[in-house]
Amino acid sequence: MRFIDVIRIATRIFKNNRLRTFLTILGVSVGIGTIVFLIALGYGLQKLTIEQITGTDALTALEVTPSVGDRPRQLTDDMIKKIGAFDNVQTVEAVLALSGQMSFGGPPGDVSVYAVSDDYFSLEGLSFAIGEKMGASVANEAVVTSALLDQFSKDTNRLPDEKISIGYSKAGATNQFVSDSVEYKVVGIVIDEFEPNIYLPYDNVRKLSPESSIHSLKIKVNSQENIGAIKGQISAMGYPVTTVIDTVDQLERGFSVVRFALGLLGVIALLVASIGMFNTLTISLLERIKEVGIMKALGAADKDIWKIFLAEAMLIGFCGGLVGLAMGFIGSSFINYIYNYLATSYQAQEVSLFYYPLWFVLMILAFACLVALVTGFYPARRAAKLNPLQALRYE
Amino acid sequence: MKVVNKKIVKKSVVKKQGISHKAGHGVVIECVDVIKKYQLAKDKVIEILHGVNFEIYATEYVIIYGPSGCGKSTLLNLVAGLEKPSSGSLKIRGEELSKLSSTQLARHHRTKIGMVFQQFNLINNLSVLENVALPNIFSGTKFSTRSKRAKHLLDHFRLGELADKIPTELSGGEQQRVALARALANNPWILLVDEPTGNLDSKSAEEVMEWLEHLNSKSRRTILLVTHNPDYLHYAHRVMYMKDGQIVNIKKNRPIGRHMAPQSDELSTEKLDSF
Repeated sequence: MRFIDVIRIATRIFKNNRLRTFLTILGVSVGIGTIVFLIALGYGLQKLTIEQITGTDALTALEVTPSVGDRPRQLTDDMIKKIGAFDNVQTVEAVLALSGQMSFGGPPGDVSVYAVSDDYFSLEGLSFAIGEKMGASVANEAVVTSALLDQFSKDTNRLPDEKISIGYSKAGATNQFVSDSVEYKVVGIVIDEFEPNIYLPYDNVRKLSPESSIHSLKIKVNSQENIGAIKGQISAMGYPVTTVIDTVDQLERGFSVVRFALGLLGVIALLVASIGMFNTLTISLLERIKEVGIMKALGAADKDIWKIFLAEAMLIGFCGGLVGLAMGFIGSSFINYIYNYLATSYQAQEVSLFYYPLWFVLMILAFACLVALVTGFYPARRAAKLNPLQALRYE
Repeated sequence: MKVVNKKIVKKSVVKKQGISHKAGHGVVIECVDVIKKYQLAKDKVIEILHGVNFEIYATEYVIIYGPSGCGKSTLLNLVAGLEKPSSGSLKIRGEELSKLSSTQLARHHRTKIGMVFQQFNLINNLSVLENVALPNIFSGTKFSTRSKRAKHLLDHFRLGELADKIPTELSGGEQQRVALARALANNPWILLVDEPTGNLDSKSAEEVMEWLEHLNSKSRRTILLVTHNPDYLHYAHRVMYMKDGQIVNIKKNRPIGRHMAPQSDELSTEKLDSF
């Protein structure tokens, strides 16, 4: 029997018992759609989170912090030079972290002061809500977090007009503040809802607070492949090193658990649908026992009958997969639309909550067919094994 | 061509050698000591056929006649290969049916025999044309070829205009003619016909019998027909009388090759085997 004829006979399910075929496909679609929706949500959230914490630069950055514990070691200017001389290291930037007090002309408030170079933001993977980093050669610009503006009851959606006057500790965590003579203008707002931080040009702060120890080093490596080697070299010097990649790895592991849990829910939905499909296929076989008998009496081989019934199941599975993908896609777009509608009305950023890698779409289709294959196997075998004479007598 | 006309059989004692050795190349169906038993329950076995012997020759028209329950349909199903005998030998053109695998048996159904049933057994969600073309689907014939052939067959049985209808829209007589056309789709040389007139009014029944006679006389198909209706016995070359699972009498109406005078001049005389 030719393949095209198997398909031709199998597609009769769309002509006869249309409603039943439609409902069965719908059942499978709902199952597949649920899986698509949930897993795409898992991927979307993961992508969103990782994008939030990293820029592309952050993936080639290392952070070195002072060693604590048995053999405490400070970060020194010598170290900066030493590390800067390593192969594949592009830049080494020091960061100072001080406690400080500042005001927009009104009452003062406590803040954390970070003295950073202009590369810091991309290396740290910070993203700006408004504005940009301070200019490399401009000494009176500052960047603040949205939490800081909140603390001073400022609008977080626009750059404040007032200039900042600020004082910070000379060394580490003392409460003796020196006043910075510069009045800073806010040029960028970093999204951070929790920490009231202000980022100032490194050289300004270093001048006023020369004794304060270096909080951390930001190292930029020329490519992601060399991260491991550099990390090893610095660790060997006795300093703890962290990379965003570590965090990303952890997150990915975390999200794979989330995806698994979400996927499991979807699989349960699909299981229910495939039981329904099994039921339909079995009933449709019962209705067509006589037809199978006729076909066998006319010379259909067992294999032909098997192919026809399996093709019907696969057809239902494939259509279920396609419609399910469409349903998952439409459903997630709808939810995403609602989310973004609400988000913009609360002045939050628009995001895409769902993400569909191409391989995932193809896998879902293959999965739907596989489910159909498994579900259709038994009814198809039963049909193939029917005794033609008994089948002919069946009413 | 051998004719076993004088064999008036009592009980089931037809001697094997008397048939198979003399038969020669003309024998198409050979049935030797065929017994068929059914297991009804664990300890209850019922024997339907008690050792049946007969031969049917090429281009012969044979009717098996007997009351309901005598085992004649069972015998036909055995010849069709839809069931296997419990013991004994059943050969179609020298091929032992019980030795065929299920695939070979399917090919046997497809190429050697055409079946016609009392209940027509058409598939109601296929069109008339598709029903006739169905056996060709299983033999892997291309769509265009099989559609053409089916159309040709339908035209021959004067059903051309009904090709796109579904079987339930047709009268019983028309449906049985569709079934006849379908039986010929793969151009088999043996037609096995089970009570073809059982569900038909007498006019349609007569018409179907005329067609069968026509298929035997004009296109030289071998026909084995089963019936409990004595009205049609005169169509056959030989009539085998069956009772209680045995052939009790064989009556010869006329020699093979000689045919009844056509009763209806409406019938087409073109040869079916020409396509």
